[in-house]
Amino acid sequence: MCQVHGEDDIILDSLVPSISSGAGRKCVKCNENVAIIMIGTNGTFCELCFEKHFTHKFRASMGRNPVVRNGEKVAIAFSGGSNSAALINLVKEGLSNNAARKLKFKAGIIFVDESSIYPHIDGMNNKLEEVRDLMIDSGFPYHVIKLEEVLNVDDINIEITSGMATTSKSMMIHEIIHSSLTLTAKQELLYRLRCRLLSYKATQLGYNHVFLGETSTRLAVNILSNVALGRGFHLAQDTGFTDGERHQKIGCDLLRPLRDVTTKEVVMYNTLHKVKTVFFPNMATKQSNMSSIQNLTESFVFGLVAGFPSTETTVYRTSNKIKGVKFVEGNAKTISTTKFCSLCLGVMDTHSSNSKASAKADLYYSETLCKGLLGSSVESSVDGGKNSSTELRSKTEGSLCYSCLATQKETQSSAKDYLAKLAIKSVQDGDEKEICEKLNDVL
Amino acid sequence: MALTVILEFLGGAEFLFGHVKHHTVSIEKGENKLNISQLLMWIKENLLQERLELFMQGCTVRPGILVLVNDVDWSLLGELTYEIEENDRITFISTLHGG
Ligand SMILES: [Zn+2]
Ligand SMILES: [Zn+2]
Repeated sequence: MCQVHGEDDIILDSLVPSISSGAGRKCVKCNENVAIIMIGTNGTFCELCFEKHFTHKFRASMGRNPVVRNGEKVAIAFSGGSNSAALINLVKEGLSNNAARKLKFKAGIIFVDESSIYPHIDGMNNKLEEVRDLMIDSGFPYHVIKLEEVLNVDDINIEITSGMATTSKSMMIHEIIHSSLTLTAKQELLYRLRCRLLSYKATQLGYNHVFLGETSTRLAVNILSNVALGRGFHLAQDTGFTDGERHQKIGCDLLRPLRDVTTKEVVMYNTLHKVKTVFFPNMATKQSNMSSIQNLTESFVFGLVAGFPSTETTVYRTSNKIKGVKFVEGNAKTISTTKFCSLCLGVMDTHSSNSKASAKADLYYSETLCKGLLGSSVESSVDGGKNSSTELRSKTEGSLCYSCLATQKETQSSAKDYLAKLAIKSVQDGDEKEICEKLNDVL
Repeated sequence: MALTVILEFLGGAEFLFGHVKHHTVSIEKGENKLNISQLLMWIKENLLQERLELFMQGCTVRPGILVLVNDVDWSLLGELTYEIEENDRITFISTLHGG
C-alpha cells in the first residue's frame, strides 16, 4: 500500500501544478465567478453557468429528437437513484411557468417496486416510504407498480415447488430471477423485465412515452457491456434517444432524455438543487467487479473516466452513428421462428441467408460438443424426466435473439419456464401466420 | 490539535459505513496540515466497516465515487492534495450502479 506521511506529501504536491488549494479557478464561460465543477478536461463552470449548461443539454436533446408532442403524457421511470431524481426535477422546472421555453407535455412518475426479489434486505419498507414521500413532494401523479406485474403483461403463470398451497406472483418473480445461474444473466433478465413492464404499464395508465434516467455515463457502460453480451445488433435501440418501435406490441416507447449529460453533472445538479435520492441495494451492490459482465464493464468505464474525462462522450457518440436495423426478410429456412425476440423484443439478429454460418448456429454447435463430451445425461437430469417441458424449452430457442439465447442458457427451472411461455405467447401473437401454423402442428 | 470535519457518504456509499450518511468527526493531526489523501487513510482505519476495495483503489477513492468539498468538485481543488480546513464538509457520492 501507499504511504501518505513524510516525504510522499511533497511528491504529491509537485504532481499538481498550478492549483493552489482553496484559491478556486475561474469559470470558463463567464470568466467571472469561481468554478464549482470541472467538466471534461478543462471545462470549469460556475454555479450559474453550469445550471444553464445542464438544463440546455437536456432541452437540446429533447429538441433534437422531437418524439414527444404537445399535450402528450410522459411517465418518468423513477428508481430512487440520482439520475431519475434529477430527471424529475428537470421536468418539473421545465413545466413551471418560470421556464424559458415551457415544456408542453404532462408528466407522471412510475416507480417499479422490486422488493419481492430482495426478501432479505432490511428496511425495504422504510425506503419505499421515502420514495413515496419524494414522489408526493414532486407534485406529479405517481404510480408504484410491483415488478411481478410483468407476469400480467403476457398473462404468464409459472409452476414453482414452494411447499405452499398457492404460489403468489411475487414468489414467481423471485424464482424467475434467482433461478438464473450467473449474475450476468440475472442483471440482464431484470433489465429486460423492467423495460417490458414500464412500457406496458405506462400505456395502461394512459401515458404516451416513458422517460428513462440513463445518462451518457450509464449508456457508455451499457454500450460496451451490450457488445460483450452479443447485443451489438440492438445497440441503437438499447442506447439511443428512443427505442423506436421495439415495445409497440406491448406498450409505448422508452426515451432517454439524459443521454447528453454525465452522471457527474447529474450529481452536481442534484447537490445544487438539494434533490433527494433513495438508495436501493440491488443484485450488484457490494459485489466485486468481476462478478458479472456488467459490473466489470462499469469498473472499466469508470476507471477510464477517472483518467480520461471524455470517455463517456467518445463511447456513446459512437452509438449515435449506429442506425437501427429494420427486419430483413431472411431465407425461409432460418432457425428463427419470430420476427422479434420474445424476451428483449429486439429485431431478430439470427436471420441470415446462410444460417449455418451464424453466431446462433455456433452457439448450438458448441452446446452439442459440450453435451457430447458430458454424455447426453445433462439435459435429462435437469428436467427430471419431464419430457414435455424439455420439448417446450427447445421451442423457446427459435424465438430468442443471439444474446437472449445466451442468457437463456444461463438459466434453469423457473426462468427457463418463463422464457418458454414467453416464446409460445410471442409465436402465437406473431403476425407470421405460417410459423404459427407450423408450431401448432408440433404442439 | 484536532480538526473537525463533516463527512457524508451518499448514493450507496453509506452501505460501507454502517448505513450512516453523515459523520462529524474529530481528527488528531498534530501541528501538521491534513490533506484528503491523509483523510482517506484515516477513514480507512477508523470509519470504513467493510470491503476496502469498494471504497478505495490504491491511494485514492474508487473511480465512480465522486468527491465534493463544501459542494465543490474536488478536481478544482487539487483532489488528494487539498488541505482540509476546520468544519469542511466532504461528500463521497457513489455513482456505481445508480440509475
Ligand atoms: Zn460562469
Ligand atoms: Zn433478445
